[in-house]
Amino acid sequence: MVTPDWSAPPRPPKINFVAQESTAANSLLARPLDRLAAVIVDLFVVLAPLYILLSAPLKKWMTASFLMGSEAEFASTIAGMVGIAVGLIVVYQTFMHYFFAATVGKFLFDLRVVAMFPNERVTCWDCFIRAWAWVGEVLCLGLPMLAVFSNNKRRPLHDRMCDTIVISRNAGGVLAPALWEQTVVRGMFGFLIVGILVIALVEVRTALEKIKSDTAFAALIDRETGACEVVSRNINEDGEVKEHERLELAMTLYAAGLADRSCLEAEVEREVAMQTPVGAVTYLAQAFVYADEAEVSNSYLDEVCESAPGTVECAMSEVVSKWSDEDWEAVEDSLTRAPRGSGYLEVWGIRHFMKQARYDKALALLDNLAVHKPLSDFSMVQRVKALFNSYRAPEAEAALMTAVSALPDNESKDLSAWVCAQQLQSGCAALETSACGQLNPADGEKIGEIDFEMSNEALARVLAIECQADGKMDYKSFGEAVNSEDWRMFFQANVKRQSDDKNASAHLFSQLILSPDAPELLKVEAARRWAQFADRKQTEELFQQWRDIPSKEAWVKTGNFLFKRYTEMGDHKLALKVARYLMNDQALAPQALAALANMQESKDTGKRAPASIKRKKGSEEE
Amino acid sequence: MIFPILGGLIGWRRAPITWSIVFLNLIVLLYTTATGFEAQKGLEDVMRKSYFVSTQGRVYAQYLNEHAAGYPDFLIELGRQVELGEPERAEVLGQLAFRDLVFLNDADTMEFNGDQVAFRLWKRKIADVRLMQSDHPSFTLGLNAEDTSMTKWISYIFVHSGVMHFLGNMLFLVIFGAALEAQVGGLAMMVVFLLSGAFAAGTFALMTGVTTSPLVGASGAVTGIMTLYCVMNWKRPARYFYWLFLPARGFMGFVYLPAWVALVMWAISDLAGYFGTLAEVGGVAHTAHLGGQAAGLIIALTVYGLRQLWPQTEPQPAPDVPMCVLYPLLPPKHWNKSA
Repeated sequence: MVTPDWSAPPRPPKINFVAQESTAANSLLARPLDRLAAVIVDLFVVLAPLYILLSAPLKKWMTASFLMGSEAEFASTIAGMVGIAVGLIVVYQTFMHYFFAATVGKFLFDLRVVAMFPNERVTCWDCFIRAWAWVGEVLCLGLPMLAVFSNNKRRPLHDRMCDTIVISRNAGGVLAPALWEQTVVRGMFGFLIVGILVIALVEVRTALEKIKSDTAFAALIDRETGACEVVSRNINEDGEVKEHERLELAMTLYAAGLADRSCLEAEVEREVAMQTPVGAVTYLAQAFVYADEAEVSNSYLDEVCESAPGTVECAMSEVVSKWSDEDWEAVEDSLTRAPRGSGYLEVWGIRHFMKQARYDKALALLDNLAVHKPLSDFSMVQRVKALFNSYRAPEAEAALMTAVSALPDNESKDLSAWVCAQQLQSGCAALETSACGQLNPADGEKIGEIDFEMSNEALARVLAIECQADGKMDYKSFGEAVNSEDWRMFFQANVKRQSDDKNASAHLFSQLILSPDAPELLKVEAARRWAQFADRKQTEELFQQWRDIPSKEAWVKTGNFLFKRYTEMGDHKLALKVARYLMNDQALAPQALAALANMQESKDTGKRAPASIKRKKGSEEE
Repeated sequence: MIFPILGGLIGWRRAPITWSIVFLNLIVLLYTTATGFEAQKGLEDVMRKSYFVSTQGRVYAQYLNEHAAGYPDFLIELGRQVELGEPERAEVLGQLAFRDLVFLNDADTMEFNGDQVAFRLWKRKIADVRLMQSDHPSFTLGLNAEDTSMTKWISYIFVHSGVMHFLGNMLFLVIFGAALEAQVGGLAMMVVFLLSGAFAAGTFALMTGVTTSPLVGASGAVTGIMTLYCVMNWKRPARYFYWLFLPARGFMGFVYLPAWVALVMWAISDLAGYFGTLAEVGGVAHTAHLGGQAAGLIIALTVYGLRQLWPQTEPQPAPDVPMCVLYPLLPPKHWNKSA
């Protein structure tokens, strides 16, 4: 058996724990660092083990209340734990100071708490008050304790309250703090107080602003009921609310972009809470909620038709499946076969037909939506766009007037800007139209006044400024002032166009058309401007890009610009080719149709292309 | 902070068994990390999937509603909240459900009144989880509800869940194990190590109950060794390192305190952990530590009793070191004065 090597140090002096007659008069003051070390020993060596044992049951309770989300219980356990900590400190300090004039930590560092004045002794009550004052100072982040550096006798508040002083019984004690020490600490203390006040003021201000913003923008989810607030606003709760009615409305609002996914989720949770039996619409809603997880979402979509074949929900699930596969014919087929009246299916139908530039069908569905009051804003906006895009200008103007009076300010402004920008593409005379009149596009004459985040309005204003500048617009300063990369490219392309550098301009416009993040209308405008000056080679490039434009609406508008350019260039063969594509989708503008008729009259082009020509990405020319 | 370091690090020649155990644990750690990597990653991925966990929470809530007997009140309350449609609580309950083997075993035959798609997907995932668990070394070597055979009562000692877990346990083993081996010999130390480990497993099974979350680690066995050492050297001065959180002279150094201080410190920490942690939540097996301490205590008392019956050699005198000496907290000139 081998004994370990203890390597004991030389014997140190024996510490005498018996209190000697040390007084404030005949002793040095305690060194602040020794006092701090004594506190650390008391808190972490002596009291911490006791505390963790005593507070253990509360800790368990605290965990359980945290898991259960019970804020009241959680707060009460925290309060209990703080209470135990304070109680332990007060009892320990009172007991030790009264009976031994020192705590364990103070014994280790040879410090004693004695009466400040001769012929007085520290009473139990003094010790009790001193302990409470000490706790109070700790709760003030220990700042009052900095008095050990500034007070002449190194006495913080708790010592001064009870006429006590902490002295050192060995040579490690110190004298009163030097003047510079007092000044530095007092200055620091002042700075700290000012700093704390400033932070507190900033915090209060931030909190007030937060409260204001919370009040201004109603939270999406009603915190009390856990339901979606936008649904609650739009549901008619006077009559009997049918099973799944709220969820169906949430689906409709979600389809129209008036509610987000969390709203659907909240309504599904609400159904769980209300013990509503799970139905096909629940599965359908879940498919949207978990749209980011393909496996889960597809399982829900499959379940919809398994549990309720031939229903609206089943048709909707088919639409969603085919939509994600971009099988537009199948989407249209499902939409045509599906029963009407759900609301959300109609909205998806409108979105589909608008996307496919089938405005007549979209308008037909919009007529069906009239019964759904929550969708009136959505219907009005879509109607104006559908009418305008199907070249029914007078009806579009009338619909716009109705919409502007009914829509919220920002939406009405955006819609007017959308119409105005496109009207201005046909010429500056459009400044006199009601759409541009609603917008007052000439108001934003300076670059700083245009919000380029609102792309429709920004484009309308830029076009209006161009009209007023009469071809002498300073595109360069616009390009330097904007933050958006796409807008900057747009202005740079115009600068090049102004300086007659057609190749560079065409390149920049081409880049803008290909940019994935550029606003749709800006892309169309870029194509229009490019088409205006493009030579034969550049027109060929534009033609190639045009065939690959993913958005049907932009494709139709660009195609009409291209047709116009070919007609102007006298290239009837290519103009006819573009016209065939557009006619195939019933998208040739009336002016273009008239031009085509003139072309047919003046020059016999022979056979017309069959109507079955399809526009396909990357396909060879017919 | 106070930490026992006793006589410091005792080398391979004087404590070969201790170092062999450390080496064996290291080999097992490397092996389990290498072989269990895929399964561990798969399990962590599943547990992070909010959809799966919240579905599990909903299914478990319904299960608790139907089988309330034997489950703690807070779990029943949590289940009730989930059934009332609180999605955050569903995730919490779903995480807690991973430990309930009875519930997980019932997954195949269970019925669920609710979202059938979620339920089907959950059942499929649970089957995957079970498969991954069967490949995971912590499950094949650790003590879990699937297998509580006697071999597991020993094998779990040598498995650690990660590098930090391993380093923590081995640090105490080389300090206390080597010191004990130097005192009682390698064979006795190893027997104490294994007995304490087995006793700790038994205590854990009895007081906390084994779950699907496996019990792994040498902490129970190491606690037994530490307890035996402390009891055998009850009043002897042992060296502790202390640090009073300040980077100043005198705030860090060594102190000589009786060996029992270490035992009391650890006992308090484990008792507080036991009383302060919900069995369904905690990650540290405090009851296994308490079991290890009980084992060390029983062995120490047995040895003491045997020595009383058959006294052998005179006990070695304690080294001439006074208690409660702090150095270098006080300058050397002070503690040399009376020397």
